[in-house]
Amino acid sequence: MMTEEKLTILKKNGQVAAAMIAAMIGVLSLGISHMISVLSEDAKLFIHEVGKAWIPGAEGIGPYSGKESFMLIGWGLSWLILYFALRNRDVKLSHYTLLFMIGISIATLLVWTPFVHIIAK
Amino acid sequence: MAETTSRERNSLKNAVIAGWVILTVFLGFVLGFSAPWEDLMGESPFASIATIHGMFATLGVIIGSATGYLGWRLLLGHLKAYRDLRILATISAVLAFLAAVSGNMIYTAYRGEGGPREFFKGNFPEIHEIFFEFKEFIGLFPLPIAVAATFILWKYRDSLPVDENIRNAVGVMIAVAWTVLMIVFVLGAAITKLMAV
Repeated sequence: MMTEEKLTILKKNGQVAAAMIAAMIGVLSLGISHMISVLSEDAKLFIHEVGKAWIPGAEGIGPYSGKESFMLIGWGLSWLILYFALRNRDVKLSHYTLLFMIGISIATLLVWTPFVHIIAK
Repeated sequence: MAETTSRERNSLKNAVIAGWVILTVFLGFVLGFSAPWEDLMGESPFASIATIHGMFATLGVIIGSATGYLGWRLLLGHLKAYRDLRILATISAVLAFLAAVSGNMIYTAYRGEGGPREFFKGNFPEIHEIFFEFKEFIGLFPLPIAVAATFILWKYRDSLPVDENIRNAVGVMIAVAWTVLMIVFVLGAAITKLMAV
């Protein structure tokens, strides 16, 4: 009886989708914040300020500290929201897996300098 | 009779392990205290943290490759060693975190006056702008991915053997993290070869 109940709970795969998509949002946040910092000097300064607010030695590593911060904020916040939104739901996991792969590919392009320069032009 | 044989086998195994540990510790002490490590590390004030970062990265690749292999077996539906995968994925996630933190510390040296960034910008700007920048960013990718995969492997450990969709999701995540890890490691080694901190 207990085992059946446990398996029923675990069959809800929403938490898998939440963890996977939150990781993707985290790396996308990194890529987007990098792209924004290339496009705007003001945004670059703001991003650096965010990093300086809490990362030790952020002065030495520049705006990278803020981009890391946005990755962590995007990842943590989206995981929290998606966890509560999807934890009791059964979702079509193959769609989320595909979305994860597309998101990671976009994030990779956003940190590839030749691509960033094309967009910045 | 069978019990005696099993006991003898266990005692032989224990003797081999004990011998191996004793020899390793002995050689470790001899090499550790007699080698001129300062010469090998160089004079940079960042030599220690650079070495630590390199060790985390190397360990990450070794453990990450073992995790990647088990993840591939998981994706194919051939995995039996679920417990091994859970443990290796957990270690991989911890190493991804440690490599990122130590990477932050060494990045200060990279950007500092007279550091590699200045050298590359003056001599080979593409090395910094394309390869290093790419490495520094995708080097962070394995952290959230490995943590998410580890979470799923522990949380859904009962479902994994029977749910192909969850296996596929985790298998893909591990494959992505491993691929990124290899790219970062190769780029890191290549850039360090041109100029270390």
